[in-house]
Amino acid sequence: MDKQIIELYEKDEPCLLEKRARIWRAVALGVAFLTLTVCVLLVININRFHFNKELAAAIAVCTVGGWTVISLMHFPAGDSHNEARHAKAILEAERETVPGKLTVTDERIYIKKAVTMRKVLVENGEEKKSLWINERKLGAVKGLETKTVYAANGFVAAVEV
Amino acid sequence: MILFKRILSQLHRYVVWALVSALICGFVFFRVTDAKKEKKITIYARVPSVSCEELSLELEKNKPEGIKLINVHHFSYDLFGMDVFESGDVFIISKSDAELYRANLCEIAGRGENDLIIDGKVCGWLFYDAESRSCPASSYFDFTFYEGDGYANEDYYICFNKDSVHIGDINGSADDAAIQTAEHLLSLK
Repeated sequence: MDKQIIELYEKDEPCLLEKRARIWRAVALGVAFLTLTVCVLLVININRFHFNKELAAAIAVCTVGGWTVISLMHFPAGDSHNEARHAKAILEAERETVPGKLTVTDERIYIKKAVTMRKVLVENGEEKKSLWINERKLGAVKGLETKTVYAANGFVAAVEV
Repeated sequence: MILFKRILSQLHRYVVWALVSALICGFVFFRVTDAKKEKKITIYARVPSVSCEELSLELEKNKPEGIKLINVHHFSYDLFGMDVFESGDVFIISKSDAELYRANLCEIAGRGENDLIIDGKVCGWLFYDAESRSCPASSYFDFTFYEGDGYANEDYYICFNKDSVHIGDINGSADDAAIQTAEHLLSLK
């Protein structure tokens, strides 16, 4: 019987994820620049007789702009970067062969608060081993009868069906 | 839920940024809209009503040399705060206020028979005449008196802060921009 190995992590995946992180950082920089431009315009057009209103507007623009930049840098950009690091670590690590059938559980953990991992059990008769699988990659193995699971650092890197 | 927790984990950054943002904006705005004492004239008017913004703009049309700003502030409470005598150059006040705060006013050169004289010294120039109910710059001032508003229908005078840095030879100031501004004010209609 032909064995089919399904790789969960592609070789260029870390590069693509880092590129996505860079794009989000560029968006954050754009928002920062836009916020600065609006603030500068507010300062240039100050009417000292409407000082309080204009100061409140400037503080609001500056605060919201800054919050947006912080959120973009931390959430989409940071998450992509963390996923890239995780994928790179998996691809570079030595693999462990775990024979058996893979069953997905409901238990979850979060790596770097961003990458969601689901606990899986690999059963081979009496032996049971628990590993973690990236929740994004679950679709690739759902419904498949696995014969062997290839793990790296405790994470599922590939499966053989 | 996890997203909410993640946002909460960054809460300290959001709070710090909000504080930094308020400080920076406040600092920049104050620096841009204000000037050093030596570059501005501050007028405090304890009168029933004055159009501060319009009067400031009008007086700034003929600013004395070296002056960037002329601020007009309306005083509507009874007590003169200490900051008024630290920051003010010119006061438009009633005769009774002038007598009460005479220690903070300086002696000036007289303009005419209607000058305010306290302890034998000229301390103010007539601005509002209670008898004729008239004043210069009447389009900027409203001397309508209401019962209980804290103002009395008496003469009002232009007086000068003895610590002003714009009253020329009176206290050795570098310029007499406050005197010039007051004379300009008296010439307005």
